[in-house]
Amino acid sequence: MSKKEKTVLEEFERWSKEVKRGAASLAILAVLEQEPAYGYEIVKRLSEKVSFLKLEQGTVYPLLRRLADKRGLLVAEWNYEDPTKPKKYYSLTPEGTKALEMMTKTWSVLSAEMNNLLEGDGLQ
Amino acid sequence: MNEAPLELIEKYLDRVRLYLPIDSEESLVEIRTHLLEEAESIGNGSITRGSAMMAIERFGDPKDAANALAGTGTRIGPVPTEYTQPLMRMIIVIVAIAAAFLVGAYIIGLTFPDWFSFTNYPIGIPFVIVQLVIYAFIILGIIYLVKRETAPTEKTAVEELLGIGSGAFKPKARTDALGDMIGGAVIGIIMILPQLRITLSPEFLVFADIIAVLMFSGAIKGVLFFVYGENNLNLMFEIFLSVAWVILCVGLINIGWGFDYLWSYSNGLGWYMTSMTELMNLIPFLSGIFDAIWAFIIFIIVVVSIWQTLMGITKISMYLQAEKGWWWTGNFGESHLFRRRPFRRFRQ
Repeated sequence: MSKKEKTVLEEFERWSKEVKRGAASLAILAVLEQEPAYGYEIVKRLSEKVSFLKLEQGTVYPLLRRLADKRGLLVAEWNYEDPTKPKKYYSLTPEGTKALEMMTKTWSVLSAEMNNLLEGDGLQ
Repeated sequence: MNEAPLELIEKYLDRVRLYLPIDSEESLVEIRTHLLEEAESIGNGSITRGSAMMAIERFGDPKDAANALAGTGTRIGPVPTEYTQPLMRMIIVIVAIAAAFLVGAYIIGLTFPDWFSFTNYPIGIPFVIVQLVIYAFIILGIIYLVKRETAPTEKTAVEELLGIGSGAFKPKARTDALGDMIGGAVIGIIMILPQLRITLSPEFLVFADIIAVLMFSGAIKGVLFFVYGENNLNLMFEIFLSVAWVILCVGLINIGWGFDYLWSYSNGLGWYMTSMTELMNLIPFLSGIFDAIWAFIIFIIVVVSIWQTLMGITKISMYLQAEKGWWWTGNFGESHLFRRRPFRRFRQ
């Protein structure tokens, strides 16, 4: 691989990482809008529905923690029905629902405008 | 390497725990559940060694997982972010052990050889530090060469070394709290029994009530830890008691062996009291032995109390930094006894 190709690949990876980082929070909120779920369920649903994200399993938990503890968009509750596998169920708070609405709107506008732009440039 | 699948998961979690701040047990329980379910899913409903290993590998490097989870991004000088937590804990533990033994030795009047002075003080200090760092690197290098290949469930050589400090910061185990509770109550009651009090020397008798109060307070501390787990208020109470014990020991060391009589039993006489003075007159070196026992007991009390004080202060500051406040229902650590494999399996 030439130096130029390497630079292009690096730039693509950096860009891809940033896009995924932004999309991951929205995807988690969207999954939880349907029904409360625990970490493993969320990971499974995300991997089934949004293959683009390809989130490493270990990266979902920090995101959940940030959205719950630091941002207050999620609320968590432990379920000890199976004592060998306690599960921490996450659900949206009213602030989380509001944030999801705003993020969805922005995402729709962004993706529509980007599609137009890219189609206009003949890239799609 | 013939471990049960659950044992592999526990070992991996031990590695993750090493890099996490204290009180991260909830996150670890969450990861544990994840790994169990993932291993079950891979193994089509049953957890096998292979499925557990695959689940662990999919979850990623323990260091990265822990750093993503803790996400503080703090750095201490040149130390890489991922090592700041375990390194800080190791340093605190070493300093606390040294301080506990030095204070304990000072209180019982032990004198040290002139270990801490350098002939060319203070010029020699940087040289000694550099020398110690070089030794540390040589030792680490040897361990690294001996143990280069490790599975995701096996601690690396560096982790083994850094892991020295982790155990000390685990919350108090419920069994230990139960021990404090029962031990404190039993010894407290014994201290107020007239049958014991008549055996005490007049000098020790002055302290007997204070000891009884401290023992009962220790029992209350045990109850608090047993019911509410570790939190800042409970730790504060423990520190207060520990400091009180150290102050008390400063007085106790000066009175020497605190018993004038010993209870004895003979078939003919039943229970009767033997005078310590008579015993010591009979056996001349006995006095020295009892004084040594007395000093040893006080030394242990001081070491444990100083250790608890320093660990408590560190934990409180860490919990406050994590914005935990003063009161919450905290976690419980695992007793050393229950960490042994048969018990672990039983609990699972």
